[in-house]
Amino acid sequence: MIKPGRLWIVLFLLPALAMFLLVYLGPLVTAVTTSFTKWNGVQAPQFIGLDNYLRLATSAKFQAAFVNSIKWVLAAAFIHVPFGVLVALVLFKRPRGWRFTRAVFMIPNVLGWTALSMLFIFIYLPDAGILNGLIQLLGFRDFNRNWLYEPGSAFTAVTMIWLFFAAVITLITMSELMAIPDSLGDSARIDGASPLQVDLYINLPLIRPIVGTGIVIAVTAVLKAFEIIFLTTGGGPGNRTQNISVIMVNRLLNSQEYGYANALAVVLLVMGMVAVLLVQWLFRLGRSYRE
Amino acid sequence: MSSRAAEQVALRTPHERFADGAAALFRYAVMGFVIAISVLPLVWVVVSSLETNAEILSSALNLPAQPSLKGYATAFRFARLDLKFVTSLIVAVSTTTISLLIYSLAAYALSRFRFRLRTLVFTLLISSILIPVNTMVQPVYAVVLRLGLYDTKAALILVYTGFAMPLCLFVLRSYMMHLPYEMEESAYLEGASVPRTFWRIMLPLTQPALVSSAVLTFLGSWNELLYALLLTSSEHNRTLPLAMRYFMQQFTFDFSAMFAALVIYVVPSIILYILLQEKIMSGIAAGAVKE
Repeated sequence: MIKPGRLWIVLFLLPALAMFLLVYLGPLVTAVTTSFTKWNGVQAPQFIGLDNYLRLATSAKFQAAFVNSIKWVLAAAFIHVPFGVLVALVLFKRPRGWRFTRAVFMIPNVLGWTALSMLFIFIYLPDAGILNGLIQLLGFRDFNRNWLYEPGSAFTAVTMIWLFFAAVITLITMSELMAIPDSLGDSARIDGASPLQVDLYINLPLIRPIVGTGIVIAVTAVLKAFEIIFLTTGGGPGNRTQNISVIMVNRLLNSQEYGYANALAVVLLVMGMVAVLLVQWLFRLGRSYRE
Repeated sequence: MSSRAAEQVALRTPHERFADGAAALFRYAVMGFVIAISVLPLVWVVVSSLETNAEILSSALNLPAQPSLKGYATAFRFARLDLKFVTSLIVAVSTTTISLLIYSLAAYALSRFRFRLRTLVFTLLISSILIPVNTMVQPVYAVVLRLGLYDTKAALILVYTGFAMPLCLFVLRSYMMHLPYEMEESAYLEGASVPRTFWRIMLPLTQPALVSSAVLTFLGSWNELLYALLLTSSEHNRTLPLAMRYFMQQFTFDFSAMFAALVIYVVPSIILYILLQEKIMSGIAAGAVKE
């Protein structure tokens, strides 16, 4: 620790603090305060109390998006994260090829949502897509499905774009697993425990905090998901894949209802915080067994 | 596994050996699935991008009779991907450079300077992680308008630099905190100034964390869609993710150009990943657990 002159403290911190005010704190305050107003960006905002929120709660679009968000959160917590943890438990035993598997698993995360969405649009193309191609190859010659645009399959199709790409979960779980002393599993094995029992009764309880962290990461990511829906279905068919961010952006682009759009933003923010607090409470985070 | 446990494994009954075999089979099934979903779609897109439009339409699973680069020529010529590629590159490189500079300054102050509000400033800056970036779309748009930066690359650089804050600050600060203090101490004892010590001694020592932060910041900027969509309008300020969206709306008849466009977009990310795999993984692991 050093005790530099006040000038240096200010100079070193000023750019980051300015950034914080300009891109986070200022906008956050604007979003919250204008969510209680009618505002088109030209005239001064006009206070209307909870009107935006009431309108929102009664809109069929929002209701569909809200229900979808909850479905996606559940899918993240009960499929996405467990799959990532399963891959970590497999790779952590260092079977042949584990490094390669871990390395390629990361690729979809590096590509980003735009590229992944486009990739899956290609996969789902009715006539040129590989999914219909494979099904036709299996003998269903006449099979032809427009996966993203048929009501029966649209929700599953957009969910598949992220559901199994859990490399971040795998990565953080593996680093936690590698920190467990070998002696624990070894002595259980000597007492006759099977590898499965070691995983279930020793490893899993020990990595519980990191699984909680993984769920927080995954849940906040699906809540703010935008590109996947915006680029593929746009929320359709008939609100089947509707999403809060997409409604918000459409309001901004098409009708300049800034107050209403910011009310949607606040809902998104609150949903994220509730989800984080809930998971932290369930997993009593912040304590690792290492501490 | 220790040698005692290995002995134990050698003395197994046929029943137990069957269980081991089943476990191994399961492990390779999981790994095979992970590799398949991560790699096969990309390979298929690269192969298809070399086919003619007629070949793509005739079957999803054939190989090109004669690999053709026509799709790439179309993508570059008609969608001006060359222009957008350069824009994306300018924005991503500038964002990365500025972020590293201002957040390493802040990280240094927050890890080494002794001053009264240190914990408060750190908590404040790091709380930015809790705010999902798409909740601030409209207010940030308003800020950009007021600064007169609408439809400029500077707007994107400013906003993306803000978004890089939590990750850079966290990764850089925790790395600096673990560096020994001796070298700086002797520099100060010899009368070196604070900025000189920072630049000459601290930054070179922080290099691994700087590289991790740099690639992740670069990728974040390279893949961002929402703000690029709202903050730019003219052809020479639009980035590659927007070009991808444009492609999907305008070129739906030319599949080889669409496939080629996706390949052009993801090549830089994949090259970066291959070169800096370990740094990306350690950065993501460190950045993810910060919550």
